[in-house]
Amino acid sequence: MNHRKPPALATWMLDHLRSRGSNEALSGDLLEAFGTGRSAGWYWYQVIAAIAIARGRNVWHRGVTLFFAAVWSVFSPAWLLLPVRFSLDRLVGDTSQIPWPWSFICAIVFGAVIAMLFIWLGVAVYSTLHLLAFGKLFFRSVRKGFLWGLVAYALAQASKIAIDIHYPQPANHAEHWGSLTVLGVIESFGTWSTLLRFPYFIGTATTLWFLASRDKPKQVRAA
Amino acid sequence: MKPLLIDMRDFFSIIEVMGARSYLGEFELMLLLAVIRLGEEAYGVPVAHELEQYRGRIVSLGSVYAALERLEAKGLITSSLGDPTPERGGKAKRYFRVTKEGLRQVHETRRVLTRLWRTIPDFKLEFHLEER
Repeated sequence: MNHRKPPALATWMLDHLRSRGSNEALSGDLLEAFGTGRSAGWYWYQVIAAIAIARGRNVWHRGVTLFFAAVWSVFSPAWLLLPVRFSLDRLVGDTSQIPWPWSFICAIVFGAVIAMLFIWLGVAVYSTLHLLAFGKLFFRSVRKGFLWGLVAYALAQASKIAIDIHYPQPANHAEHWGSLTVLGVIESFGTWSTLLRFPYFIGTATTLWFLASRDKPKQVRAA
Repeated sequence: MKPLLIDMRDFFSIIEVMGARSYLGEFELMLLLAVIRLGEEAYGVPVAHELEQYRGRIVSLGSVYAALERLEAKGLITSSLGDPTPERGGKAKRYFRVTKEGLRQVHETRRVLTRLWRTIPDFKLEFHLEER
């Protein structure tokens, strides 16, 4: 057996830049093959190819998730129009009649429930498409997906509110918004409509991101 | 007029049949055959070596693992870790084994490919080779 050492930098890169399930087996395979007389050039080629393939798959997987979140968030203004159209806010009563801070808390909770329903409807659509395309679901941790999705949505919504306060929208905007049709709000891509979609994009993308499995198979030691 | 490579009726019947099921890609089929051939010794190094021997060019172990993981996700192979060995820097081997479904798909792909090959008369293949 040849006890040559493979290029240390290449080994370090493989261990740190390729964060996928088969890393240990792949590193071992490369060491074994290098020990049987493969060249340093061969080792470098293998390491760079392995990193490129792993990263490429990761970007592709995440890219699809982000693309879906962007497309799904386009429909969020229409979703927000539904409570107005069907007067769903009356279900929880007139929050302005409730003393502060409960009125504020009620409004926040109602908004969060509406948002989470939209985001998880998106998750259901994405899951269906994933199931049709790959024949399996992609869930890793539903709890993690829900919690991080909620946190990300809340932070994005808070940022949006801060922007709204700093740059108040035109006075006639609310009136105009109420008069729009469902198709009209979907087709609206002005500054305010885009800003309105932002928390939904962040919430959907984060939820899917934390839900998404990396196809890391469970490993068992051979008997 | 140049003769077509295959009859159009055959072409559409093949498309129809192939649309009904998902067939294995070229690299996936090669990997499954290598894993079947190696049996108990099917892990990264010999699998890649086997492919290099038959394809006649260097195979990236990263692409081998990526395809094997894809096959595992499809339920066509399973994997298990062996014991760590010193010549591998204390890292374990990952052994692969073809599942029943994997074997079924290999047979199915061979059946379809054989049918496809039979639709092409020898003179048409020779004609296209000469053209190159």
